[in-house]
Amino acid sequence: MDILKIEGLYKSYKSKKEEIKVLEDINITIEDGDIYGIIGLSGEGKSTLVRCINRLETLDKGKILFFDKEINEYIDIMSLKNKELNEYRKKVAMIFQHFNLFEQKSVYDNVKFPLTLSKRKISKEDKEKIISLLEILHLKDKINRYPSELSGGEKQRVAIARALVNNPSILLCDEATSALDPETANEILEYLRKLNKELGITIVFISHQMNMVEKICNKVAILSSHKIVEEGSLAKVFMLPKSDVAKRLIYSEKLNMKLDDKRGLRLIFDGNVNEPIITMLIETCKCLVNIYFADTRVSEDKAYGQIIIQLPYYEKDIDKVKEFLRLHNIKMEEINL
Amino acid sequence: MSFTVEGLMNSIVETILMVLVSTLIAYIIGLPLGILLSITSKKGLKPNKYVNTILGIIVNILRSIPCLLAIVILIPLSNIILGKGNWQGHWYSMIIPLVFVSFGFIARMVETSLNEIENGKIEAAKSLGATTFQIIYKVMLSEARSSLLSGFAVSIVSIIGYTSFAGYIAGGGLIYYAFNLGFYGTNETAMWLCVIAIIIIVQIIQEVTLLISRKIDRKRR
Ligand SMILES: Nc1ncnc2c1ncn2[C@@H]1O[C@H](COP(=O)(O)OP(=O)(O)OP(=O)(O)O)[C@@H](O)[C@H]1O
Ligand SMILES: [Mg+2]
Repeated sequence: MDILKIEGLYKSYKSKKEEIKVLEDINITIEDGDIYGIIGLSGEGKSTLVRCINRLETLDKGKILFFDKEINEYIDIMSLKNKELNEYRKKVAMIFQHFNLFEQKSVYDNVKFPLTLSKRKISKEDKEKIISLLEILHLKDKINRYPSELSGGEKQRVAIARALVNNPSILLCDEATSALDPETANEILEYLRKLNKELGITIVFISHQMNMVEKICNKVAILSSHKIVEEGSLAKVFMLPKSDVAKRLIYSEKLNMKLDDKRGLRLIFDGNVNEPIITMLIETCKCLVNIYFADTRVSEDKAYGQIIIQLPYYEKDIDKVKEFLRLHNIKMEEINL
Repeated sequence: MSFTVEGLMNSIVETILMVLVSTLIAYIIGLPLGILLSITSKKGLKPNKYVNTILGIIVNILRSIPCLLAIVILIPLSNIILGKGNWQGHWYSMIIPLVFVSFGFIARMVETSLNEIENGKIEAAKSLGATTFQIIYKVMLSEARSSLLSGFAVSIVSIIGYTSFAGYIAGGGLIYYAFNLGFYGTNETAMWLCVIAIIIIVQIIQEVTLLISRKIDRKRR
């Protein structure tokens, strides 16, 4: 089932002097249960797009249809007014890059806040719901703390709990991991994945970081020049990127594409290696490795034999590769191809 | 006028009553006005150029009328509300002018406190489905509470200052009492006693409010 359908969306900001086009002809279909990534460089309009989905912005043209599970029907979110709009927003929650917690409210009160919007009295079940969410997000011991006493990762987890307390169908994440260090970011991704699996919540994950999107999303759309230039399953877009931007985002920002076709390096394995050394080499040095020739066998988990790889084109990358191999005690020898 | 302990006590009570009632009424008018000024501003929750400009002008005019003139201008109003001729000389005679000269700057102070709230928090509340009214009283007033309270300390102290004009309508109060003792009387010691009493009252109000303001602030700790 498609939970969100964006059709022919146009959005521009008008100032006195000019009109800035931010989104042009956006068409996206998000299925229930997806973790849908939207990637693009800064200023492409990613935030604007999620703000449109949450109706924090209005559209110039186009439609956003949301499947409301309560009435089993699609609703056109642009037609919603006051009360209906607030009801809709409770079904499409949002988390932000800078968390946006209420600093004068405790962790518990932050998470309670969305519930207090629809009812006067918080029931026992509501309390249990809050506690169980805080438990899932490992915040139980922080329940009476205030945001200023929490780390970035903890703050984002409180924001997630606050967003989820009304059982929304969709969670919009606008650069939710961008203000966090890589390790904490991964932790947040792990929680999001878990919530997606266990609660079945659909996630729209906005980021400019390819590696974050790659880790969590099953589908992606790439925004470039304010349009969607590529869309589909993660595997399809990542393995067969068609557009230049996609290729740039996927390869060249991560890996050094240029290889030297004259110089090679022979790596000699004599049983001292039991790690996936080529993969580690690629990950660590962020450069491509082309295996020119390989003759290895594995016995008792140890590799014997030799591999000849093509060397990167730039001297500083070659030095990195050599340094990496030296650190892992691999014998090597430079050869001409 | 001669000094008596009873007279001193009486003026202290008068001052406190005068200031508390005026501040309360001034806030009943100034707080909603400040909220309106803040939310109708360009970056506010409900931008509205016309409402904002008109309210802004009104507040600015009110703020520029000196207290002494306000007292004179407001004599007819006092006559209507408090009954012709029988309010002068009572402690409550100053309430109407005090409210009049202070609710404008209270509105501005409230506006400033509310404008300090990061937009992201208001956006978050909106994204969770809060109504404008809920955002105001569950988010804005709560997030700005510490700053609102410091503003309250400033307001109340300046209202105490304004009570000195009470002399013109025999309004009573400590400052008026001290003035009479020092200006017409010969009892300088008694006058200084009154001055010290005023300083103590101002200090207590200021320190207690600021202490509470710091205490309820969960952000800077
Ligand atoms: N309220 C606004 N008024 C005018 N222009 C705006 C407004 N909000 C955003 N813009 C402009 O719209 C464009 C897209 O902004 P947006 O925040 O959606 O980009 P983004 O892809 O989220 O970027 P980033 O990765 O830096 O967050 C930018 O050029 C920005 O300057
Ligand atoms: Mg953004």
